[in-house]
Amino acid sequence: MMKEQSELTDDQLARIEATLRRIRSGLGKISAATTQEPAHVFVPEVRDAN
Amino acid sequence: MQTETLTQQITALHQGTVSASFLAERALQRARSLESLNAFVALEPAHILAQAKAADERRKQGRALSLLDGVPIAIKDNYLTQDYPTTACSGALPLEPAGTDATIVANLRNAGVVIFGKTNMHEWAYGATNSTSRFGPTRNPHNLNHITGGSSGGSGAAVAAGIVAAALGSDTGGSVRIPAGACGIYGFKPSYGRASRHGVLPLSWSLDAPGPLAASLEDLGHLLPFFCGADPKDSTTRNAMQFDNTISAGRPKLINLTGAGLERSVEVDAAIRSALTRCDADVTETGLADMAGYFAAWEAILHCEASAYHAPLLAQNATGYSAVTRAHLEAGKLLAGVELLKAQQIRAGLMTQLAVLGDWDALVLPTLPVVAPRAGDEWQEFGGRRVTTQDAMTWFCWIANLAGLPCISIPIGMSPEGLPIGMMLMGRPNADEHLLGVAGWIDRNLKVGK
Repeated sequence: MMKEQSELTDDQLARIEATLRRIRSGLGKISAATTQEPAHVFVPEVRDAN
Repeated sequence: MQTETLTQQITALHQGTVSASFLAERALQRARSLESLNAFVALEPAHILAQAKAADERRKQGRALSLLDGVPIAIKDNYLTQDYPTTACSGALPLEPAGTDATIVANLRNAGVVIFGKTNMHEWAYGATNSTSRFGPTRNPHNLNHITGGSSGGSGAAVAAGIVAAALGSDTGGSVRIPAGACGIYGFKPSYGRASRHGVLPLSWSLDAPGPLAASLEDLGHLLPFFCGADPKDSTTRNAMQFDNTISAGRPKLINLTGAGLERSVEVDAAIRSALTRCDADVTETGLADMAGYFAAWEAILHCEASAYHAPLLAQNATGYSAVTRAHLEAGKLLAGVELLKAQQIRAGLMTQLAVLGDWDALVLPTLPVVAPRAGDEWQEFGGRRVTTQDAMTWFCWIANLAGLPCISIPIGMSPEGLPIGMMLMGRPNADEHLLGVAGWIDRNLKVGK
């Protein structure tokens, strides 16, 4: 683990590791979606004050 | 349970058979006698009674601000309120009033609603059991040894126990629907972008949706116009329509989602099948592929967005967070940008998969795979699965958040041990009114068949 996390407890470190393992395993299970554009959208006019 | 609906309270106020002061005093009395639920974290009787007295004055002079003028409604502790502290039930925030209202709270206050205190919640809404809170856990009104679910667990308990007829919640992976299901009441998560998130402390910007919990479906129809519509303070609502609560629906086409990744206990499955048989709908059944991948996408987006939001406060006050919440936030920091984008690609794929299921009015799932678990039980077993209680609570609910769909939980019965079972209906994007109409059709037919 990274240095800045040294104050984390063993239980927290185990939880972090388990969470990351589960997410990475799940994301790797879907191949069909990889050609699609991501769901998030950027809508410039929302930030246009005029 | 002593339950009176918001609709009944509105009618009684209109007819003059009760006053706002009576409703407020009775709610305060019930809150005091039901302190064991730990539903409220801030309640100021003098302030509540002053609001009620003002509502009575307005009504006496024929100047009622709306149908809801004078009804008491409780607010989840992650909505900013000018008169109460907003802490998200975390030790990381000060106990000071925000001095401003969330848009939805302001809408209700302007309509004369009596803002009835702040309700307990899972810390930062970052969990679905309501067992982790600066103020201690909430307890289920149906059995104090069982959890309410969360994260809007205080709101669920307050409505189910009849303290108030309605309360506000927020929903990132089921936090309105989970306590609604576990406590036997109604909860609605609007489509993403329909309801203003302004002033609701975020958990995950692209998954969060504020929503009401109430004692009846009609109550939800009274409340949703105060949630939905364009709010200049929330850019995602720029195209949001006002909520039209006059829309009803005919015999609906439902798809019962089952199969791998969607397991549930035998008693919950039996209750859903029984309800589908009795509700006079056209029902088909299908599965959804790749559930583990979709769940991973939801979890990746959740942790990344929460970590980004919390980064400044976490750097200043890491010890103000519970150990588990802090671990979630640290995990979010370690996910790579490409992993987040992969999650967003998968999210787009889920939307497509649901759209091509065919002609449907609502997708059906249980709200929870099990009835409300006993407090302290860390694991749940159902359908050949053994999962943490946290994961059991969000088991089905996160799908609607990942896809941005409107979703409602309605009570459909009780387990042999006396705990509620809820059914969830997911609608098409922005078809919130139609979904409420479909739920109305089902709810009516289930009640007639009782």
